[in-house]
Amino acid sequence: MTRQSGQIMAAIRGLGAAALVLVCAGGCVSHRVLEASWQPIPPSEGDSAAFAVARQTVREAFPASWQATQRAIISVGRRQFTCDGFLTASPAEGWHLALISMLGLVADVRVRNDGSTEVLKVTPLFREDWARDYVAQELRWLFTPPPELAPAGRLADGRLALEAKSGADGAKARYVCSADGSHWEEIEVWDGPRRLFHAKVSGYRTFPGWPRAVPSEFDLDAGTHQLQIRTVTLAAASPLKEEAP
Amino acid sequence: MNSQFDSQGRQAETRIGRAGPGFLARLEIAVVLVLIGLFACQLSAQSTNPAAVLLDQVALNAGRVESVFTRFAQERHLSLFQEPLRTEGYLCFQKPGRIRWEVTQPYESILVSDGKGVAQFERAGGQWKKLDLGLADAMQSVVAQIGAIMEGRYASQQRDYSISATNSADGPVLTLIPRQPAMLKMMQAIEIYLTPDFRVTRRVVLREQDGDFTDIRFSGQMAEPPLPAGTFDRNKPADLELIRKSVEQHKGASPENPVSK
Repeated sequence: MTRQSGQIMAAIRGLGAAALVLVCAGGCVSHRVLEASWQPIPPSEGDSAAFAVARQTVREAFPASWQATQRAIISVGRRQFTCDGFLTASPAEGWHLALISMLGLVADVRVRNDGSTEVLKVTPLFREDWARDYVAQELRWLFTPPPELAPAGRLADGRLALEAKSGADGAKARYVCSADGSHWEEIEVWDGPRRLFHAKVSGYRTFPGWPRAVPSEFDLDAGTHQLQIRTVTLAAASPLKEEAP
Repeated sequence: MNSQFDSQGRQAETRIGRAGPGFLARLEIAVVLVLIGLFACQLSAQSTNPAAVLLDQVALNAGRVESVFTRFAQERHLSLFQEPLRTEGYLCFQKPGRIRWEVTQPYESILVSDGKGVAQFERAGGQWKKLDLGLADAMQSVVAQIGAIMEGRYASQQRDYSISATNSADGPVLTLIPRQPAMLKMMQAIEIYLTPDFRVTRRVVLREQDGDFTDIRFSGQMAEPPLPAGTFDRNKPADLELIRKSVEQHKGASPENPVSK
């Protein structure tokens, strides 16, 4: 083996590691069971107005139809990797994300409004089931909050917790908002007794063409990996192209 | 100059390139060819043969270039999205093997190699943060090969891509097609667009088999700019504004090597 080909093989092995990282980012590595952090106090009648505000805050965290460019830093152990995300969401088409690493397109997935997932494209370093079962199923909780949210109660610090159940996979999400319900601040997603991930939601800012402030920073911790996502551009979405028959 | 190429679009082939399959190969080809294209700005106009001689000249002239500074605007066109994913920024190169690829929009990021190692920085909340970069060794290996090629040492090493050269009203276009089937599954072709006088690479397009493509356009290129100390520092890279200021001063002194904003 020549020195050059040796270097290339070393790099390819490294890319295998990158694939592993991306898998981790998608949640493919078995999730560590995390301790429950929230013990909400059941809601009282006096909280109904604040919960109504909180429900609206989460449901309308993003425009009805939108398109965003995102920058992500994925941390696994002591290693970090960057990735670009290109996301569109609309009531008609659902949720559509292309993940692009420094080495090119990683995966292109869509989650329709009925919850069905379609892997539109996947590259050799990323398995289709990873894209389908993890990337799509997890990140959707962040960027397409479910319409049905029930009050779970107030936390000890006065903040409001809302709960949503997934239809198909049984996962459960808790959204935490400020005490007055005006800001969505955190999210936890559970699979039975296991917490799949926790994310802090912050960086509220406005973008050209959309008057309301939207959360632009997400710090996600899944135990096995951490994911920092920043939305760097946001605009009203263009419709998806018609697919070839 | 245009007589180097058959006006009927006759194509001549030579072989360059050696890469592994998959993503690495794509990355390697993409970056290498972008940079080969950049260095074609130094190409002399003495060749009378088509692509093979042209490539020899690119190699010969690339070896003479000590440093380059240029803006880039990159668009990733994904077939299922109406709008491309756009990034823009600046590229710096300096012998031996020092490379800095800095994205300034829509986010800020620096990938820098000092020839010995590679580092990446991300800016968020007004602060630069150095990443504990994964795959650093692999990245440096790739960057080192890019550096070798930029210094004119690629021709004797690279053998896996066929190149055709055609002419157009806007200047010559080099099209590189992978020979390896595995590579061809990933990348259909790489197109390098030069200006008619060969001094400037206007554009590089990386075409994938499924219709997706990456389009990189260069502007304000300058050869041999005075790059300040710290440009390629892996711990604390010099601020881009300092680099631009240095280059702008050089522009004033060397009007033949233009830099535009």
